[in-house]
Amino acid sequence: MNSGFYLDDIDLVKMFIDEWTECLEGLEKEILKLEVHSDDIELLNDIFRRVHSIKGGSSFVGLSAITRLSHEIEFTLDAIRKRKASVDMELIDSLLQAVDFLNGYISLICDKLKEYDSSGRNGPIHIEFGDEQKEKLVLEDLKQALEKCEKNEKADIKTGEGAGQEEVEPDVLKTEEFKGKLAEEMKEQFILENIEYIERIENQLLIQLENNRDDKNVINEIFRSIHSIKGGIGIYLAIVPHQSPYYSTLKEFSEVVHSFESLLALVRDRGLTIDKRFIDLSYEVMDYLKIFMNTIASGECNTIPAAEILDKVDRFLSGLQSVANDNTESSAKPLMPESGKITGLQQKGNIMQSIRVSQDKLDKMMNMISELLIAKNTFMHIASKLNLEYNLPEMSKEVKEVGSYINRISDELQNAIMSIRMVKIKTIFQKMPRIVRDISQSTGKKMELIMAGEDTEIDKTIIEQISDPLVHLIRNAADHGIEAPEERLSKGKSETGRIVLKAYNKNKHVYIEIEDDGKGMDAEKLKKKAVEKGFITEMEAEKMSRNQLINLIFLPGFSTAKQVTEVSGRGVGMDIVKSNIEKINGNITIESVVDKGTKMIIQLPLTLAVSQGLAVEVSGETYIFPLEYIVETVKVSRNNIHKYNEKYFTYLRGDVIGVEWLSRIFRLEDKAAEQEVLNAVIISNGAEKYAIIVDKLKNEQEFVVKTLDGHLASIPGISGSTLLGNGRVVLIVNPADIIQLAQRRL
Amino acid sequence: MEGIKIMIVDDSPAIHVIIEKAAITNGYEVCAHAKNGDEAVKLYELTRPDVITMDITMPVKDGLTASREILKQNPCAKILMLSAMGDEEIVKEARNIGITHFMKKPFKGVDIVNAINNMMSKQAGE
Repeated sequence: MNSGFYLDDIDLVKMFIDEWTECLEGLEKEILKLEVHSDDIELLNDIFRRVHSIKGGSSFVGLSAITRLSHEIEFTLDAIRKRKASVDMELIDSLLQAVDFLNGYISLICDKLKEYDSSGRNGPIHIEFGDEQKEKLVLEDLKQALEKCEKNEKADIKTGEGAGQEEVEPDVLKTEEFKGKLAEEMKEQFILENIEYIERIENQLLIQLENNRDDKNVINEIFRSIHSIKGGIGIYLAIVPHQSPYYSTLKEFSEVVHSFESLLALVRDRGLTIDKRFIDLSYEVMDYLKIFMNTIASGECNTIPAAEILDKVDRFLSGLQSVANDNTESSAKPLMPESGKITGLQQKGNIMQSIRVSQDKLDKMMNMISELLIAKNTFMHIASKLNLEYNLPEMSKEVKEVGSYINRISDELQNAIMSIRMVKIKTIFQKMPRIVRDISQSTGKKMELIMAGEDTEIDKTIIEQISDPLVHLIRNAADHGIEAPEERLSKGKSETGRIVLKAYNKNKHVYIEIEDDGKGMDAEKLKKKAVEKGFITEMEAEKMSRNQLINLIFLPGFSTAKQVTEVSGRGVGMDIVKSNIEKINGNITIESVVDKGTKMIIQLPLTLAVSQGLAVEVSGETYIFPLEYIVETVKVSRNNIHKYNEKYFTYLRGDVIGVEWLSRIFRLEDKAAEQEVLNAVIISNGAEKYAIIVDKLKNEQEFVVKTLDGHLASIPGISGSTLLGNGRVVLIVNPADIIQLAQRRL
Repeated sequence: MEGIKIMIVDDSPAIHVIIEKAAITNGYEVCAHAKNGDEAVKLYELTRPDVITMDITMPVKDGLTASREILKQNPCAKILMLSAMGDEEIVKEARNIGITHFMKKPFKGVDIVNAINNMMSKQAGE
């Protein structure tokens, strides 16, 4: 079967995709919640609505595969909502699977659209979903899970109806027994609560109503009390065993309350005048309710005749309805129009407080701000030129003033736009519970995930980049970090492993920590493995610090070769995690203690576009070091630099630290060779420090990163370029690369 | 048929675009955009549109409840209810509260325009 099709209204599809992505976000988390709160109608409605709007939208653009899939999911949800099916783990699993599949379809279209955009073609676009077979399986799975749950539910009802006559299935019995106990415990509370309501209506509200029959507030109050009683019965009914002698009595009771509630609603909404008949009836209902409560409390199982009172209420109700229908026009007054208006006005301010803006537009704005930043730097440049070269100090001062004014404005503008681009880290955190749950399911380990700081904000581009590495680290923690329950118990730890994921702001950076209380990393084992695999020689290994040894797992090819399990063997090694994080000027460090656990700390910049850096000069060229990587700058005297094994090192406050010349790394002419005292920038990648010798230290300044294109992008040691105030283009150094290059040089 | 004021009620911005495009090319005016039933009821009171296109499944307040409240404000309000596959029961209920015009998703802009013309000419004939 060919499932390919053509999309012609690309813009419309894009809009829908935006909506769907929003719908799908959080859907997973909500379905997981359903496992525990299957009775939460609000939750079910929200899930239903999300899937429903995907279905509706997809039908407009002819994406029938998506319509089909979302329809099936919706069908299942509807069955749960209407209580035709109970919720069990299997059903949740199949639902999640189906949602995953939906997600897959949508991201496939996303990719195709991106491809299409960059190809610059026009006209319709052809998309083919290749997973027809798999889709069938997923749907089949969902259907079966649903059918099973439907059967369960039916079985429940059956045993309830045939109480005492039929043999009850043992597993049902178990839950019934459990329910019975719970019902006993709740009984007292249930009775007390209801008697309170009934007495209040009887002794206070009805008397008030008799005195002042137009008092809307009293009617409302009675309605609320009755409504609460009804709610209470609903809960109690759910836990009373079906074969309990109370069950049918309770059912009748709830019917009476329900009818009376409808009656009240009618009286209230239609603004009908209250007559004596109504008040008499209310008293009668209260009497019935009281007798009922007393019987239940005493534990007798006399059935109380409810038919009579029910009949009375219903007759009264139908009488009112027919009257009301006859003169709909006159009596159908809007319900309390004044109060309605007030809330309407109050809430009006809340409408349309947020608007959706495409990321392209924001990126464009950010680019413009960058240009402004460069222009701003030009002012300072001109000011100093006026003073030094043209000897116009007055003029220079004026230009400087204007410059700093513009500086202030552009700073504020930059902050404002940056804050628009900020996204809560919640968007990536929320998929983690699912991942941990899946691993816990498939490995049989017990673990909990604790998340904190979900509201921490970070630039959208960074969020996108950090997502995959973070998933990988969480998988690692769950799969390799946390031990099996027996092992944990034997080590004297609690059975359930704990993974803590938290994000917080500190010093203009965002930190994300992933901490587990699992087995930790054994530095000795890592050392052995690294030597075995030939990453380092035995000699080197002996000299390495514990920290350096643990950081070996970031070497390419080191971690992927570990025993690959179903979950973590998805191809991303720790080296890729590290390089992905470094790509966005981030940093990752590890702290690990054997049997205590591992902690990974990721440091990220708040934003990618603008950074602080230190300008240095080497062989007449200017380069910029990003400030995040700079530990300090020092002066090193030439006699202090020692050569060992073709590598240079020096002593810095008692520590041994590697030394390399930037000119040697970039193969430039070495001008500083004759100097006696050398300028060194100490850079660090989190694990190691290196002293990089440069000719001159210049100034610290803000710069805007412009990535290099094409083959220039892959030059090691350079991460991008920027424009200086004088219009010159300079290169930005990538310190992480520099450290690697310095270490490899012989 | 010019100068007809339309209010679009839908939680999907894309649907707003589809309807608005069709409406404007036919000389109608879109006087209000509501993204849920609650907004619809409030905006109805403020803008008094001639025709409302009403989605059913929406957050905060669904289309059926909103229609009910709007009809309470003005029993002659003209509501075109947009239903999707699976909404049959709600459609039935909507007929009970006096909604007579329905449109099944997916629809084309032309369909909407035709339906609105139809609704307005009925009024003229009355």
